[in-house]
Order: sequence, then C-alpha cells, then structure tokens
Amino acid sequence: VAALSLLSVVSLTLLWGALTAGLRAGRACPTFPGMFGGLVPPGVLGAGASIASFLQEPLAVQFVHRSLAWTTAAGALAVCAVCWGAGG
Amino acid sequence: VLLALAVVLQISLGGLVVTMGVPIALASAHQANGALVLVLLVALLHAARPSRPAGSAPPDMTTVMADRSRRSTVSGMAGNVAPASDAAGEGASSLEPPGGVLVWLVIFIELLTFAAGLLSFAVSRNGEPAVFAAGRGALNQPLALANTIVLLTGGWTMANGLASLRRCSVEASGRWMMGAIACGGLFLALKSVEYADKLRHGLDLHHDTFFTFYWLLTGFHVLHVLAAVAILGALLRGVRAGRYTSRDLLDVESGAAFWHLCDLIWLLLYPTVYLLA
Repeated sequence: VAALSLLSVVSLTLLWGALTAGLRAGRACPTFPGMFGGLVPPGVLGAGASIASFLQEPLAVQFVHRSLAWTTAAGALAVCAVCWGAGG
Repeated sequence: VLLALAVVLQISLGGLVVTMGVPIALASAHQANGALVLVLLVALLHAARPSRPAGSAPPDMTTVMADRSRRSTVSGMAGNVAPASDAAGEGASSLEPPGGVLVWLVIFIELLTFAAGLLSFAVSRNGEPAVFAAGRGALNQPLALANTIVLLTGGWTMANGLASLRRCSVEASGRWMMGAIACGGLFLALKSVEYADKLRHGLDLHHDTFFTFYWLLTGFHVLHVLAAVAILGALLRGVRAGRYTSRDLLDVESGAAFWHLCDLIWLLLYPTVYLLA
C-alpha cells in the first residue's frame, strides 16, 4: 500500500515535471533548497492565487513540482525504512 | 536503498538544474534519473508481489519467513552444496545478465546521469577555464590517487569474493567481501578528510562553479559508495549465514555489480575532475 501510494506521488511528480519543462518554469526560481529564501515563494499562496495559477504560472508550477518532490523523498525514505524493518 | 538513493540524487539534481540556469545536460540527467525512480519503484512493487499458483490461498508472512529460514538451514547443513531446488526453482534464464536485468538497468541509467553531469562540467570548464584551473589546483591529488587505488582494490576483492562463492568457498568469500567493505570504509574515511580540508579553507558548494560541480559530483558518488557498503554488509551477513550458495548467487552478483558501478563512476570522475586541464 505504501509503495502504491508512493507510485501515485512519483507519477504525479513526473507529470508536473513535464509541465515545468514545457512552461520553462525551471528558470522561475534559481534558489535551492528554499524558494527565494522561504519554503513558499512570495505571492504563490497570496490573494490572487487560484487553481489555474498552479497549472499556468511558472513560479507556482515549480513550487508544486518541488513540493511533490519533497513528498516523494519522504515517502521513499519511509518505504525504505519499512522494507528494511521487514527484513529487506 | 537504491530507490531512496535515486530520489535523493533526483532532488539534488533538481537543485543543481535551477541554480545553474537549467543547462540542457543537467536537465536531461534530471529527467533520466526521474525515469530511474519510476523503474525502481515499479521493480519494488513487482518484487513485493506474492507469487503463488492461481486459486491458492495467499501465504501469510509466518509461512514465508519459516520457508526462508528452512532454506537457509538446509543450505547451511549441506555445507557448500546447493540444494537442487535452488537451481530448478530460482535458475535464471541463460540470457539474463549476472545479477539480473534490474541492476543493469540501474547501472545504465546511473551512467547516463553521471555522463550528463560530467558533460555539463566539461562545458562549464570551457566557459570559465581560469576558475576551473584554480579549483583543480586546490584539490588534493595524492589523496585522490590513493582513493583510486583503494576503490580498485575493493573491486578486485569483491570479484574474488564472488569467484570464491562460485567455487563454494564460503569462508574465503566472506573474507574477500570483508576486504571490499574495508576498502569502501577506507575510501569514505579518506573522502571525509578531503571534504573537511575543503570546508576548512572555505571551498564549499557555493564557492564557485568548479566547487559546485565538485561537491555535487563527488558527493553523489560518496552516497553511492555508502549505499554499496551497506548492501555488501547485508550480503556478507547472508553469505556467512549460508543463505547464498554457488547456485543461488543472484543477490550477491547484483550487489557486486553495483559495487563495480561505484568503481566505474570514480574512474570517470577522477580524470575529469582531478586531472584534465
């Protein structure tokens, strides 16, 4: 179940990666690991944010891709720990 | 472990892609490694799937563990002779490479990823030759040469460990594998000395373009060596417990292949980062 959940997150991350590349959103924020010094870049979750902006605005698209990637990392480490605990 | 490693590598590559202004080689490496994450996850799901004849009840974990334990005991009692069921039940196809297809897929994609990173390094070096020459001059060449010898020795000892296991010499195999693990540990110790020296002189990730590449490329490689040492440790335990026999070597072969991948990556990194002007 854990691996299947992780597969969903990884698939979504890959799809969002394609969106990020297609919109050339990789250039929207050149800082890492934070985004312009914070976890959330300024303006992305502000008053003007909408669902459409997470699919169209380069900065918001990169933010979603990064958030999914961190979720994937946490999930992968959890699955690794579970497998290790179950005897490999 | 490989999945977690690939994800960590993916995040680091992503960071490098955005901070370096999305160079095409690094973006390609990021995409190739993303595909590797998916492949490893699908392989994990495939491996975790219980295999049983249609219509039979699913085995519970107790039955599976008891069966594994019995097989280990049988292998141990039989000394170095593999039970016939090992060859019949787990015999791989003659077309399958040593260690199985998955580890070779991992090796292929890892090499693609590192090749893209090294290509990007070479392109950046052409853009900033003075920065890269100064960076290379600040590296500890004798330590890097020592690390090359240590890793090659580790590859040799692991190859001997596998050959010993094929000849049914379990004790000799364990000793050779212990040697490979010791080489891995020594490599990591020397690398720690090198990293501490760089940090002491303020040559960190953000010092300049050369050191951004230096830390990321050699850092990914160190992560691989760490994972390989952990894998070899688990395999050594299995060998000493009699879990692997001359006819049931798939896990040991795939671990050895991953260990040799670490050698191979270093043999690409060492001349590119430390030697070539």
